[in-house]
Amino acid sequence: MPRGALLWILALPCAALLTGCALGTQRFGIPIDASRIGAIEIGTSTKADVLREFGPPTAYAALPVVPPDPAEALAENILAAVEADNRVFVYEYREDHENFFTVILFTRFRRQVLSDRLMVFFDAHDVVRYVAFARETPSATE
Amino acid sequence: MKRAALAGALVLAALAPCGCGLATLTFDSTIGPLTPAPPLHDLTVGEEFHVTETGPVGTLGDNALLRPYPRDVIRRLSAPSSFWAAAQGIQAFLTSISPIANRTAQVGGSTPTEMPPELQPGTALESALALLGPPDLWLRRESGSLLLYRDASRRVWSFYVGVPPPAALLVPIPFISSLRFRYISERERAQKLMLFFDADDALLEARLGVDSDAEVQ
Repeated sequence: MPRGALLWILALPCAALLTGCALGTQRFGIPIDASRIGAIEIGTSTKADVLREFGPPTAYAALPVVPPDPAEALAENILAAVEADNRVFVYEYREDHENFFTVILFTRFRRQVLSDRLMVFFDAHDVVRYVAFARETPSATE
Repeated sequence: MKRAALAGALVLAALAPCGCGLATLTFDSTIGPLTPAPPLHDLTVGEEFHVTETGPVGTLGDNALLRPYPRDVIRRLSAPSSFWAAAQGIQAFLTSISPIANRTAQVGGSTPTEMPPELQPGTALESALALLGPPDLWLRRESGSLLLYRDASRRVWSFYVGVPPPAALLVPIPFISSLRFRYISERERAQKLMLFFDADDALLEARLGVDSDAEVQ
């Protein structure tokens, strides 16, 4: 067999190995158990009840409040009082899906970020005011 | 000597994709226990991975170090976070040298594409939150609130004629990286739902918007 033909025979499988793909998912946080959301009653449950059901939140924040007159609000400390009335627990679970495929001449990369979020809003007396939950991930509790 | 080197390279090329592959997992679960060879999967991708029905799983962790070389550098080299970082680097390099590349990214997926019929003027804020979930943005004023729900997607097509810059570093011809034509088409879209509530948290107006294709070439 000519040497050139032998090289081609060896080179072709090597070239075939130059294709590749990678599938990966990064998961952040702990999946939110949606079946436990029913235990939170608006106007009745307290911050302690929410902590007992879901544990420590991913974030503890206040809704951004826009006062009609910022200077007056700062002077009379109105902003702090209003923000205290708009505290929120945020629970988040996020999945970052990545698909990668290459044949060297062509490469395709796809990324999809999906998250489940539970927000529990409290009034100034730490009683639940609103509850909001949205699920985007396909496999959070499977 | 050349033949030995070529044979060695071919053997390495054949072994390289074995890390998490089907052949490795099949070997480890069938013939592996009968042979004196250690589990190939653990040997190639480290012991901190475990295999599930969806593939190898590992904890990346987030322990930042304030030193360039940790004391247990050898163990860390086989940690899942090192493999993940290496995979990201390899993907970025291969994408950059590929003459045709397509990248898409999508964030979110829960914003409705059509206006929900339940959202009528007067709908309570509580009902809207129960229907749509947490908003991406919530601004409160004395006179009312604004809730914003948003999904974003990005698509990039790039096309090269010539030698892409990273690959040109490997070609020993002067100015080879300058002899190229590059075309990039980039599109970003956002889908938004805005809800306006009055001071009593009753819905005043709901607006659904989809960005028209904004292309950069």
